[in-house]
Amino acid sequence: MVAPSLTLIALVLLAPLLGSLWLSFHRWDLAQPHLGRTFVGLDNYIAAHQSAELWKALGRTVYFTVLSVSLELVLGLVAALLLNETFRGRGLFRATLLVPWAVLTITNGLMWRWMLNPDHGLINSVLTRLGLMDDPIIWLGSPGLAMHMVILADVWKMTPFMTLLLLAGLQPIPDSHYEAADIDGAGGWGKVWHVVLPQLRPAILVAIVLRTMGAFKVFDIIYMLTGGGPADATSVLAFHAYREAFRYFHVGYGAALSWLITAAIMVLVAVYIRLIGFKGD
Amino acid sequence: MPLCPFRSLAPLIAACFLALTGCGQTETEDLVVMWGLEARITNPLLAQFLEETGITVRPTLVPYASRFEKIATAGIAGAGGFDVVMVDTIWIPQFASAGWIADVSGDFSEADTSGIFPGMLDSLRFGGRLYGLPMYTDAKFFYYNQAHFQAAGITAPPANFEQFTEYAIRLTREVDGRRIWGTVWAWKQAEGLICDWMLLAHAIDPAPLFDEQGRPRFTESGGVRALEWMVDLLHRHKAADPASMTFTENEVRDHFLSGRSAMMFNWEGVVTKEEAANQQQAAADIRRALVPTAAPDHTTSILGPEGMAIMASTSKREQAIQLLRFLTRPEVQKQIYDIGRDLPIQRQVLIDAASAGGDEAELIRRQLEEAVARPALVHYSRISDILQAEIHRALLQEKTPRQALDDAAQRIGALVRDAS
Repeated sequence: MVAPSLTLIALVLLAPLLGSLWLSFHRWDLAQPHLGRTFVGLDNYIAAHQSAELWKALGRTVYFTVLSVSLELVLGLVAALLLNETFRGRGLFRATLLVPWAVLTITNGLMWRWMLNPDHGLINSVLTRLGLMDDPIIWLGSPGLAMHMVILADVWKMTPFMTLLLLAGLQPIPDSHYEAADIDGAGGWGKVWHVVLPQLRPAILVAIVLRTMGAFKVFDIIYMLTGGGPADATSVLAFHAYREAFRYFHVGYGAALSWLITAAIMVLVAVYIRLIGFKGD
Repeated sequence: MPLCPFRSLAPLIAACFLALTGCGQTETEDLVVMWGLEARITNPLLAQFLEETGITVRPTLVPYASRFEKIATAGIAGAGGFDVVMVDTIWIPQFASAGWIADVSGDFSEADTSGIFPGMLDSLRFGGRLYGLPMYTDAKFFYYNQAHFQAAGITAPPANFEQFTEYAIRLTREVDGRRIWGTVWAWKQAEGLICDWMLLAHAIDPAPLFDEQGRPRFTESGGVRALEWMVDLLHRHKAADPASMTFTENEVRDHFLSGRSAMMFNWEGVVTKEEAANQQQAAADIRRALVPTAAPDHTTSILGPEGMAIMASTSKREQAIQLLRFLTRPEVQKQIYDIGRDLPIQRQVLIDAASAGGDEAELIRRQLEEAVARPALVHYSRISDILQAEIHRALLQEKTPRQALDDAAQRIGALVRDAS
């Protein structure tokens, strides 16, 4: 009975994957078809390894991933702990929290671009009215600020997703465990540290694996907010691969970059599993 | 009873095939055209074209930002997609060398093309061959705010770039607690940055920025001086809004039209086509003048025309050629200019408008006559990306203008060598 499913998976998943892997061993410039499609073995991977641009893009991607996933985890955990409590208006709070996640990334990008506009954006306007600044801050105009604004926009959108996953992990924890901790004299922090976090470990692992995969291949929010600038400061790996494959038409090299991104994500996931541990129970 | 293992999947597979069929462009007798023109401009024209030729055109409106990828996808997919596509002329070398758009060198006579501004027709050429006809044109024009000029005691637009700098400094001031900037620019890391830099480089020195093989010459011509001027304007004179580093042309327009800046360079299409522009605070004070250059009584600009190209995969080449010939006719170009304010590619349309008392039309004609096209290079996208990043490094003062452009020239030189 599994054969049809496997066949379908092979058709829609495996075939394109293997096709792109095969493509990554070729030099194929769509803008110069007269050069043909040449098998070059590992040349694309070697070229990527020797590319200074790629290493810089990798550094930016790692920075973006580590910071955004860490912030989302901390904020998501706080929100999940709050939502796990019974209080008046919890339903409304839960619905409100989901709004950013429901917003399309393209809309999120436009909204942040508008809010960060130095002249008439909401953020500068509020800061000026509060008397916290005299001259407008050019949020997307310098490399450091621009990267952190992109991270902020991503954190705003994806924290609800983290919250949902962690909340799902919190709900099966029986009340008796909290009661036992109370009897042992554990305070609020003690319960989080000794009861919640150990039992939430599988949910945390799932959440950070999923978010790391998403953050490591971030593209759309950067495309909308900065276009990779200023001075390539937000040009991350996926943006680099997009340019190579879809702007310069180097499809073989672009495929190799995509496989390198996949490999890097797999390495990160393996590291998480080793650090956090996952016994499946 | 044994079941075929795929039987249970049959409806799903059938649904997938049906869905995929719906995704494609079905073969049709109609001419399928992808462009960015509004229906209010094109509907009367297409009705007229149908009446004259019996050919029905099925237009698909695709915004500029998505058109490059859509044409590339159609090109890779081959047959069954679009017959005619609207292209930015900087894409011509890339699409032509990929074999996605058709060589139409032998399809148009001298009579078809003689009235077109020469620079615009040339921007549709690559390797000596013609790959379409220009549809409408645009160029970066110089705009200034008359009220700000008067308030600062300035009576005429700048005649050269020294004067422009001086004015920009004088015009940057506080008015009722609000900062007014002398000038604002589209210097986000995007193509607009390259257009502005090339315009300035040509204004300082008309020598070409690339040679015929695509090798960089901008470190010897006006490129470095233009970038030094940009850096000075931003950091030394503090006469350009630093937010320019994050602005595209649309944001520059909004900034200028709301009266927060006194001078800008922008595309005609960005400024006049926006209905909102008329409702902006400063709209009544806007004036246009020729782009100043280093030489007196001389002007220059950067062209931004869009053309119509025929997909190499089309089976309706003859009909497509008829459409291109129709759209570029002087009377049709006049209609497009009258309805949509898209600048015509036929010189005569502007000459007629000028002789009917349109000083503005004469200024536009002169600006278009003296504007230059960006270089026609197969690797233009990559070259532009390299330049954008390096120019930004200079604007952020991470490198000197000379260092930034030397580094760009080195990388572009290596790219051109590898490609050849």
